[in-house]
Amino acid sequence: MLMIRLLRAPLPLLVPAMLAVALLVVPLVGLLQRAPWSSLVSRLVDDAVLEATRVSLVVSFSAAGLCLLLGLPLAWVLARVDLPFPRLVRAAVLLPMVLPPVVAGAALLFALGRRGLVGQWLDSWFGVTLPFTTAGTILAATFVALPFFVTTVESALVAQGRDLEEAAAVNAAGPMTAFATVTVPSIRGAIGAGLALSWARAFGEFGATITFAGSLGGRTRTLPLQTFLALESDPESAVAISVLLLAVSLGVLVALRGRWLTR
Amino acid sequence: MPRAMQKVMPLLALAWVLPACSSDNGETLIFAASSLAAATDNIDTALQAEGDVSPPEWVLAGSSRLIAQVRDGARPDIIVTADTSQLDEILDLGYVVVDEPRIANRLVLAVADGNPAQINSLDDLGLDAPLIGLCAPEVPCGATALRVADEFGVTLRPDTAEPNVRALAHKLANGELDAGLVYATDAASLGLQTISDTRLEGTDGCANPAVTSYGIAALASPSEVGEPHPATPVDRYLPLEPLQQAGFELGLC
Amino acid sequence: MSPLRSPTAGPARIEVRGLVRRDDFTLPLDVAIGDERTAVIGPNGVGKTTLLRLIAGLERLESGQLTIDGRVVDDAGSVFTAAHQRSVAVAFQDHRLFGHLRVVDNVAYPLRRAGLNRNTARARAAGYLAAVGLSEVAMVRPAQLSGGQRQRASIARALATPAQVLLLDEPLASVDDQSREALRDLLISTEHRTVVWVTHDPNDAKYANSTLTLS
Repeated sequence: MLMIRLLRAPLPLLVPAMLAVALLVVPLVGLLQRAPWSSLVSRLVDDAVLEATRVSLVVSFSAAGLCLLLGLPLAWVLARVDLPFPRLVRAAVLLPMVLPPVVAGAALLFALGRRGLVGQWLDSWFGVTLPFTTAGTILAATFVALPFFVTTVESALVAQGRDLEEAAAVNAAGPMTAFATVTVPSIRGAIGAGLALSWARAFGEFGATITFAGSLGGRTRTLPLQTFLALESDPESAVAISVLLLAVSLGVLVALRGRWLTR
Repeated sequence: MPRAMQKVMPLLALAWVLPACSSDNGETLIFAASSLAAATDNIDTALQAEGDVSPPEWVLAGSSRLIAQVRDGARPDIIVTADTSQLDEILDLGYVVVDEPRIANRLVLAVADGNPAQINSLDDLGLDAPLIGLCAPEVPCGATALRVADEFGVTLRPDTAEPNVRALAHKLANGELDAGLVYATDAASLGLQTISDTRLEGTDGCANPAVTSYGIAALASPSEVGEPHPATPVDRYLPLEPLQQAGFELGLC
Repeated sequence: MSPLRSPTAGPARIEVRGLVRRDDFTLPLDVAIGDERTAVIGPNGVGKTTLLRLIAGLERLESGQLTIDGRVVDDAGSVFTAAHQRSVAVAFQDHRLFGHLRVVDNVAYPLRRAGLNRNTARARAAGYLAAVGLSEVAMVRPAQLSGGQRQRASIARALATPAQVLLLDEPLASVDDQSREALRDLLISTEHRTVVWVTHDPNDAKYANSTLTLS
């Protein structure tokens, strides 16, 4: 049945589509067939891996939360306020998406590191040092994940237009009330999608984290960092952790989509 | 469609060929531990000046990664790993161990410029306040650091365990970390300030836990009968003087 | 709640004198609306909707001045009373119902903003829904309504808004013929408010106290 339905599709679309699926799926199959299935559980029930899992969950969900807290207002401003140089502003917001994560980490270090532009004042005034802390890891993850949330939500806001917000305004809703009671609920699907995307990006984040926040078990070492380290000493474990990463991501994405995106 | 294909085909062909062509262009390919980065420029310059052999193509990565790549089918002419034990894994793949040159590196206690945390000795690496960095135990420089701590009865309280020594050295160089144990070569190439601790500086050669020696292997010449020997003149690609300039110690082990 | 918001404050005189910028041209306006029911007629594109949007506070004057009940709400400069602070309700031509709310909660929306609790607001909203003949679909979401039903829900929501000025933009355009008469009666029976009614239908205009022709 599926074959018949597929064969009805025009070939110039079908062939690239199949290639795309293969490109996405074959590496995963490669990973899975290399996985040490018999020793999988014992490799994962390992203090270092459990610790990294805990750090990863704390960091990725905090980052997704920060994306919501900071990204939702930002998306609204981008969509609704006539900014000077709108293209430039939008490009700046999107930049972390294309920036190599290691460069992102270096940039964070130059800005918020102990000798950084802002970081030196944080250090000398408040005694706050962000690198090598869980907070720093969350910050790095948020930095790379935020654009995913903002673009998703902004495009939903632009597509929706101002009509409903105007309707709320003439129904005596002030701007904040309109935002909370009309704008946000009517784009909750996009907010859910943005959360899922930014969470996934934060969960898989490696380059910016290792550069900005370092790597210490229980504090800053997330699952991807643990995988990278294991690759140096015990590739089998690295594959096992990758399978775990895959399973957790899949679980959370399915749950988030199920919760947010069905309606 | 045909015109689009004409545009796309060369790209596809290129993508197909690129991964395979790395060593097929006649250059000698050397896989080397990341710490060799400190010496590659020196070596290239020296080889160019001599004109005897042309500079090789370097691939620098963590030793375990390099070994894994060889096991997965990469065939560098020479491979230099940051410890000797891992070479055993590739001896069945047509590689022979090379004894000369004998290259060693040594961990040094490096601090941020101006030593803001006033680190005086190895023992200060157990303090809570300063930001201390080490390599992760999974990589050679981290394993060596643990050996040092163990041997000298020093407590280590790292704030980060970096996946490679360059990352660690850079964080010391830009002042994000107060102190750490890095290779002498990295300290030299980045101009890091170091703190002298006699325990690290013993002249007991290989017996000192801070000293690590490199393992070198080369592809064996395929046509020879009897004892296999390297197909590439290894000592000519790893001249001693530029290695020494970069901070490597020679003939210790 | 400001006294402006009270539905018992009675009708309000509206005066607009000035220029408003539209996408492609500048529209001069010199309009005074004093009667309880004013029909606004005129050819397409002449600025009828723009006039309503100005009064509602959804557009700003380029120059000139807009007063409602003697109070300057827009002087094309420093004074601009935002839409939610004007005592104005609007039934949009394109309905603009909130898709995430049930029909009854759409109508209850302005009542909730006026401070009523959920149950009271819903009970009152049910009354307005009954008046426009939508009691049966009170608990569904707007996406399930027909075009005419949506317009009726939009009218119910505007009626529920406690405002001195009721702005109607072609309120009966997509309503079927049977319900049109009843809805027209309902709109006309609105008391103590200034109703500004943009329409194409000469039958609507007949019931107005006065007719404003834009050209």
